[in-house]
Amino acid sequence: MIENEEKFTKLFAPFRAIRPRESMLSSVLERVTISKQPRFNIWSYQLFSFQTAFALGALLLLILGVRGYQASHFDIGTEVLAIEMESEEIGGMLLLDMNYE
Amino acid sequence: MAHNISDLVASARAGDKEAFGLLYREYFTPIYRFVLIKTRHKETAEDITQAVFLKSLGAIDEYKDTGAPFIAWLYMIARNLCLDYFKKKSTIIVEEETWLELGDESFGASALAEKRERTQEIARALEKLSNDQCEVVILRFIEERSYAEIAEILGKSEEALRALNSRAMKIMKVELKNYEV
Repeated sequence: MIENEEKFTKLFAPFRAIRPRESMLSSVLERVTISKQPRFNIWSYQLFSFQTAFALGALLLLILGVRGYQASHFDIGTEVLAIEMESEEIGGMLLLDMNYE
Repeated sequence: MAHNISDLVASARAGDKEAFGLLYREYFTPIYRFVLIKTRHKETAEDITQAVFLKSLGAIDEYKDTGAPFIAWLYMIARNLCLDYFKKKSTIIVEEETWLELGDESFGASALAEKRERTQEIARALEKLSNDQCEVVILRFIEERSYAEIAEILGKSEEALRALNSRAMKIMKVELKNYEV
């Protein structure tokens, strides 16, 4: 039995020479030794949550700001015209007052 | 190897990437050989072996030192990934003996061209074995492991392994009748 096993061991010798490609060995080694990250990192999680909340807040403010600006759009020409009309009205009222007296 | 495997495993579990790298260097080739002979497809063997180490890296915290060699745990992962591969694939790609024609790089300088034909004949004989018999033959005759180690790796009793090996040898003797075995 042992003798047979020894013969089989000799027979399989060429299989022991099988090697993976060196380039493949190195590339996987790089992946396993460099890319290891903790499975769950509370600080990364918190940072991610904060960044997401900040980005969403900024986006919301931006949208509201644009809408607000559009709603109260300030036209200088219209404002001047309104002031002129108001002053004319006040002037007219003063003249009427003076006539009564 | 200058380093103690248990120390390397402990360091790797503590997050020492260099220690894991050394374990990888030590065990990549036998795991690759095991997977290649089982799948008989170079690219698949490369992918599965890579997955074995990435998976073991991700799960090293869960590894429990039960006294069994660390490679037994890697073999277990490799066997499970091979099983997944065989389950998923409805048709297994077998590279008609080319999986062994890996060039001089794979066979080493000592391997000669005339050995190739014989090697292919042995590979064909291996195909006649059941999955269990094939695993025992790989570990016993190619990796030259003791029955006690194989029992730890495959989770079978030594008696069962001896019986499997005996049957495998009988089949191979018939297949390789031209050789003196």
